[in-house]
Amino acid sequence: MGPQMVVALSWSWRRVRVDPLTGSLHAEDRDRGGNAAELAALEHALRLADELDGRVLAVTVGPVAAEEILRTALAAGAHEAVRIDRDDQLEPGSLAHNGADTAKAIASALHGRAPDLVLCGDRSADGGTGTTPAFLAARLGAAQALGVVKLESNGQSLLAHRRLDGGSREVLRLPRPAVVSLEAAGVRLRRASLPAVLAAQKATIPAIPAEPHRHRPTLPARPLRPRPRELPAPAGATAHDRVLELTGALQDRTPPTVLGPLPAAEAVDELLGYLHRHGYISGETP
Amino acid sequence: MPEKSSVDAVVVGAGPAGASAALELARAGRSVILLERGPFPGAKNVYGGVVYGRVLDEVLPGWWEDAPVQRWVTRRSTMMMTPTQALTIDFRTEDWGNAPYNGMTTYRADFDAWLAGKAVDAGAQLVTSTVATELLRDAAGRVVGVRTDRPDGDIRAELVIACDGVNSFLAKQAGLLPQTDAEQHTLGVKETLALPRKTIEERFGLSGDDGADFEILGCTGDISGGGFLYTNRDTVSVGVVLSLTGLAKSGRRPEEVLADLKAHPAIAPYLRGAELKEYSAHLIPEGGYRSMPPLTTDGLLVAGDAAAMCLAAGIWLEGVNFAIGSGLAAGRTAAEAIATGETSRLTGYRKRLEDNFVLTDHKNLQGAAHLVLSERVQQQYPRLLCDFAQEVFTVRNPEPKPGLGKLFRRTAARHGVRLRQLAADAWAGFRIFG
Repeated sequence: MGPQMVVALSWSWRRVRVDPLTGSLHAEDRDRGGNAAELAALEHALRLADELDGRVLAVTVGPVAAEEILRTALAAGAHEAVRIDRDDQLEPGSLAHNGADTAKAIASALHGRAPDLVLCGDRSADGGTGTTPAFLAARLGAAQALGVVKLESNGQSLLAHRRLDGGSREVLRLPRPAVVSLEAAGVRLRRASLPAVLAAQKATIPAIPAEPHRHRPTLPARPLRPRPRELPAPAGATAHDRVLELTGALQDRTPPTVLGPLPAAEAVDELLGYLHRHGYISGETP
Repeated sequence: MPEKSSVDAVVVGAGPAGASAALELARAGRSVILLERGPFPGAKNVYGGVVYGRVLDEVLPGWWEDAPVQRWVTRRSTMMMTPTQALTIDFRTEDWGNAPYNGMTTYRADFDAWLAGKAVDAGAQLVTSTVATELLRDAAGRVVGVRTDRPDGDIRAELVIACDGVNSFLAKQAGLLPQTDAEQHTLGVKETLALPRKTIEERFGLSGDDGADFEILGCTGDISGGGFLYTNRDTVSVGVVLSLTGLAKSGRRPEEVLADLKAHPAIAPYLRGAELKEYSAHLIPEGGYRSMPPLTTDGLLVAGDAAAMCLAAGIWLEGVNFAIGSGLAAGRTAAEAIATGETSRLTGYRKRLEDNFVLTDHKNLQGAAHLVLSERVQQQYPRLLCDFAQEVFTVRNPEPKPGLGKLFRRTAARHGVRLRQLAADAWAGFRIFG
């Protein structure tokens, strides 16, 4: 019996228009689907399954229309498919935060199964946070490998080739279970045969209800602006006195000190000494 | 276990003709595969006109309830142009803004997907991202299916319906269409320009879901053709249709011709400040009745643009409704032929088309393309009419107003238009359109 693999395929909005005035989002239903990295992940899974006699389960979180990408997976050779029934709203909060919810939904759907590998694309087309694999690894208690461009078996272990900066690569020996984020990296999903496409169209895809999406606040469209600090009203009898009081002019104060440039260790000593002198820290200066 | 790819019929191309044919076959209880080259029906289409939906009344009653409409056309203008002048016949009616409606503007990506969805709902199997690469024939030469570009991609079928568009490889392979035929085709180029909905309504004098459709003559310089401008919900589409041979002879680029139209003083105010969203181009089969290929061969029917069903007759430029009409006829003929087992005798297809508007209109208007694309109609008459209108409306007090007949004769002479030729063309036009 070869490795049991799960391929997570997203049902993302691939093209979203943002109204420049209101910030509202618009997208067409037909613009939803997976991306090249996820299809590459599926292709890697199918290759490993062919080589090691493994099994591939394709899973997605989405509405009924998302079955399209699962049927693509079935036509290409996935052994089974499961849809987790949830339709995320097109709004910034959902796009930015749905990694945790998606991972939770997938992990729940895998309850009772013990996959050796969970393969994901490196990021979805819409939110693009790339956090789902990390949350998924945490929930499944699995190791995680990021930036993987190639998966192979050397007979005993599964090896993941990772892309590093500057054109470097490293090869990881994957423990099991592991969650792997794959990049498209020139790997394309195989072209399904016509009989397989026709059979996949008629396949029954089980749907598992998902917990409702947890509402999260939408991020503000403008930069963060700290709240104003409340100050007591100035007590001076004249306008001149009140202005002096508000601005702090003509009062004793510690003038700002510019240090340096100093080496880091000396700058730290100066800072600690300052904090010590003014009572922010007590005891011996380390 | 994958099923064997064998069905009653295979329809190639999920445009309006293909979807309609598949719809009819599926409703008749036949197994049918609808092949589409793009990732979804309409994905590779260019839209350049208005859909007239009357043809759908019978097969999809109340189609306007869920069709993907941009706007209902309630304003229809025909414009004649010179580089500095424009004479417009402007017609508008509230009747077209109410059910059952006359025409609508729509995006083909939406409309084709919607119509193909109706075929799928009826039981057709839609297979996308798949190209039919060749016809399969039996030992006797009869068409018995198609080969696709997928592994194990042969589909055996009792009948094949080729709706694979203007450059139909299947019709060419069957010997029904010539390999190249530039004379019978035009090139449509179109820009889709975004404007706020409110701005479109103000500039075109529209409200609600009302829309405008302008057809333009004399806007293509020395190249035979025409232009169009129509409104969508929050975009406008503007484009030109150019004779292929004329374009090649002129040495001009199509986008230059379109840029000239957009800069014309009668068009530019409609487009000011618009943002370009899409530029696209497509061949159009404008040869009409006289260029139509044989519509059937043993085991094969041809419909839509593949059969040159686009009607280009000057004041009428219609394609989608003729594609739907021919697709429905092909589907019905195929369903009957499969039921009776007489898939070699497909003569009922042509009879069906002759009994409805598709071939009747094409036959009646068969001389229109020749007349409309003539140098006189393209160049001389727009200049003559614009100059005549200018003369009529130019006030030259205290000089007395001239008689219109004298004015017309003088203008015609200035443009080298002989009244005898004008009368001959008018008579020819009356015979064609009358």
